[in-house]
Amino acid sequence: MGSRDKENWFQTTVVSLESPLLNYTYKILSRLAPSEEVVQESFFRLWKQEFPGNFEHYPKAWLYKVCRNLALDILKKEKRMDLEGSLDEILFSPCVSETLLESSLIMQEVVKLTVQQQEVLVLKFKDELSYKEIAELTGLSVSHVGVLLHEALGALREVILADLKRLEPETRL
Amino acid sequence: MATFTNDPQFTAYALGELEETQKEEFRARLLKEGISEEEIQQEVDHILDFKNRLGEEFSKDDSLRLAPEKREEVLKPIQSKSIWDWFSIKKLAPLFVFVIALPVIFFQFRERAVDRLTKINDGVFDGADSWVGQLNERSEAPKRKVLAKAESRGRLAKKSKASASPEIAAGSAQSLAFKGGTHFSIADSQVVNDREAFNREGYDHVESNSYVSVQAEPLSTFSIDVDTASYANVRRFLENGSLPPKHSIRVEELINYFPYDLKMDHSDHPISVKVDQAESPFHQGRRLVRVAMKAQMPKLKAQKNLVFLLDVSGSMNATNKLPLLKESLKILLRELEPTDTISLVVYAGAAGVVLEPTPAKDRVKILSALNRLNAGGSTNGGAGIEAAYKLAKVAFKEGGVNRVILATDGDFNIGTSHRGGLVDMVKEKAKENIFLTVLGFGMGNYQDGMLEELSNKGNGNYAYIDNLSEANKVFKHDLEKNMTTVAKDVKIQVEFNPQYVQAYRLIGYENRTLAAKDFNDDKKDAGEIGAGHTVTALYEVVGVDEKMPLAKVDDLKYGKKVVVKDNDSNEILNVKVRYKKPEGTFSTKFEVPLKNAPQSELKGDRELLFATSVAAFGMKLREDEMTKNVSFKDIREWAKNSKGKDELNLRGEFIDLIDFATSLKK
Repeated sequence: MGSRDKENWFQTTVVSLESPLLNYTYKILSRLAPSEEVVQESFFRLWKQEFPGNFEHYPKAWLYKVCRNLALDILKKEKRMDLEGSLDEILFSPCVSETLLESSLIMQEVVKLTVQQQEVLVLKFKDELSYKEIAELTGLSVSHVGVLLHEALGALREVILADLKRLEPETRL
Repeated sequence: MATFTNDPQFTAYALGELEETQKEEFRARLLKEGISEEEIQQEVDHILDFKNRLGEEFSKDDSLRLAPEKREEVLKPIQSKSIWDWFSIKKLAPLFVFVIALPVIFFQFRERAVDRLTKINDGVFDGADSWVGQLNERSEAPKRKVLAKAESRGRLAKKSKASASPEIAAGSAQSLAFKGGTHFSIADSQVVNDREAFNREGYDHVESNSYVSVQAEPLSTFSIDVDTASYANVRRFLENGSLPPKHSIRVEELINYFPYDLKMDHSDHPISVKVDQAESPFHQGRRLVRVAMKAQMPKLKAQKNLVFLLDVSGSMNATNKLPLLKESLKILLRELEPTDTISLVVYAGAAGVVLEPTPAKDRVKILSALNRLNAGGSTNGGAGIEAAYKLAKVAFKEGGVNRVILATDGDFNIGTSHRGGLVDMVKEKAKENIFLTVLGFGMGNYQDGMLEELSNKGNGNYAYIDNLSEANKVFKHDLEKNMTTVAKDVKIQVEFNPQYVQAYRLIGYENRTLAAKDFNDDKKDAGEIGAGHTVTALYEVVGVDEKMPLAKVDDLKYGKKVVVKDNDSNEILNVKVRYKKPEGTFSTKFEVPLKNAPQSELKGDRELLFATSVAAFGMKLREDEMTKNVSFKDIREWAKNSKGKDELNLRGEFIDLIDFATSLKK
């Protein structure tokens, strides 16, 4: 694959992942400027990284992981905190914006979940990463990711069912 | 909840996270435990529903994007790798411009040659000079603006709460930003684009209307046009830093792109018409007459049966095509009532039904069908259209909206591609009250003339979608306008009173003019108008006092001179409108006269002033004689003064387009 192909691939990647990554990072840092820097840095590293074979099949999770680690580093520095402890202490910010929280019954239930569950939920359903990718990203085991997700869905089951019913009101007339 | 779903492995199974062998084992285990296939499937569907619903909900938050300058920094490695950085750009620039200019001169030459055979010599060299000038200009000026513009476009998409991912809006914004010149290789891609504009994009030749003597032709007859595609297309060219080809500009489509705030008198008809006048800004002493039409909004939303015919050929594989189309459909889905039905037919090589008529309440099913679509293969539009009309008939809603919606970049390259055959078929189906809407996507391959003709013959409308905010306009704000036909075959005939009027010129509607006798001929097809739509036609009218070199018609030797029916009338003109009800075969007529009155000032009527500025802009781009005394600066001034509330920022965007055009025309 020539350098022109790599350029095209890189452009496409930036365009398509810039927003999801920034939104993801922002949820960890809750401030725009450092979030933007983190996302920028992850792309800088991506460009330098030599991926074997086809560029198209690069690990998307890799970018998430870089962003996550950089963001946590920033939090660590700011709070002078040891991250070996529980994530809940650092990732205090809710995974949804206030406006969405107000308008969405589902989200009001989502924020009641543990921070770990929330993170796994977002990575799976919004960012569409696989269990394996999420595991690699968060440092959890694949089966732990599965359990977290399963529990989260269980907790949300009722509210989503109600919501889906609301979306199809006159069906049984 | 069934007990077997308590196992986290079941969730993993439903989400497709298990390896193939694990999957089989797990399934075998469930069946062995006495759980039926149906139960399993039902629970899997539940989890998939949850997945879609949550994904959708989370995506509503996806509003952040990198600031443009930060994105530029990220993309810098590409620039520094670029070959152009190895040389000094400044030293090479003149050579560069020359190399670019060659093909452009050639294509300019071709266009002009078709345009006016007689002026070949002068024309080419003028044209070439101005193009070289433009290219110099282009590499600098529009870049900043295009970037800023692209950003604001992204914001607008967000503001209108496109809860679909804003990726596409900003995706196109992004591609604009690249085109605008973040790295130097844009220059050659730009030329490729220009070349495509002349080569691959098909536009029918449109010659401007000229002044018509009232003595010779007292009647001006035309079909209404509610299409807006030409405006979006012009916008695309300007934002990409080039002037649109003249024949791609249909002035009436530019005017009718904008909603107008018109106070209409009560009407017993589904459409009401208002005729008024002001002084013409184009020529002193002449009048500008506006014929404005507005369709009523029905009290109840009509039931909809929509069959989407989607082009998934290889050429649709670009951010601003298939992915944008998918997002557009998601917007539409949110606007539909639960019982409205949607079907999907794709065509590329072979045509196929992807989704049988499905009620909109079945969102998950529709969304997953959409998500499965991929672009690949070449296009056979013909077979697809047949399949789509068949489905539309199956799901036909009596008294409702029955529509085939063709979404394509218009490259019908295999099969029954002959325009005539397709057009006939579409016309035939329109008689069965299945109408056609055409949505144009993308650039380069875009076959404008063909698409417009198809939609006209199919009693339909035609829109060009180039970004998410346009998709929002078409599918959200203008949905009822575009889908619910209030009246069809709407024709306008204006009779001018020779006592007051010496000559007139209709602005735009060049390919919509009809013969005078067609007005009363119900078999003659004309334009449709949708709920709440406004249609504006402008005339410039020359009074009898002005000295004007018109070709005089000799008095008849045998017949009588034309006798004016109402000699003492104080009416300048009389507007007659004919329309049919959506299911009707016979037309109804009504008339609205315009009384003679002193000319009022144009700036006194905000909506008319804005319509005039849009018309002038289109004509200026077409290098129409009428606007030779008017500058882009004037046009901008009018638009600025008539911006009004402009909630969707449509008029604001128009003002930006004037700025682009000004910098390109210099």
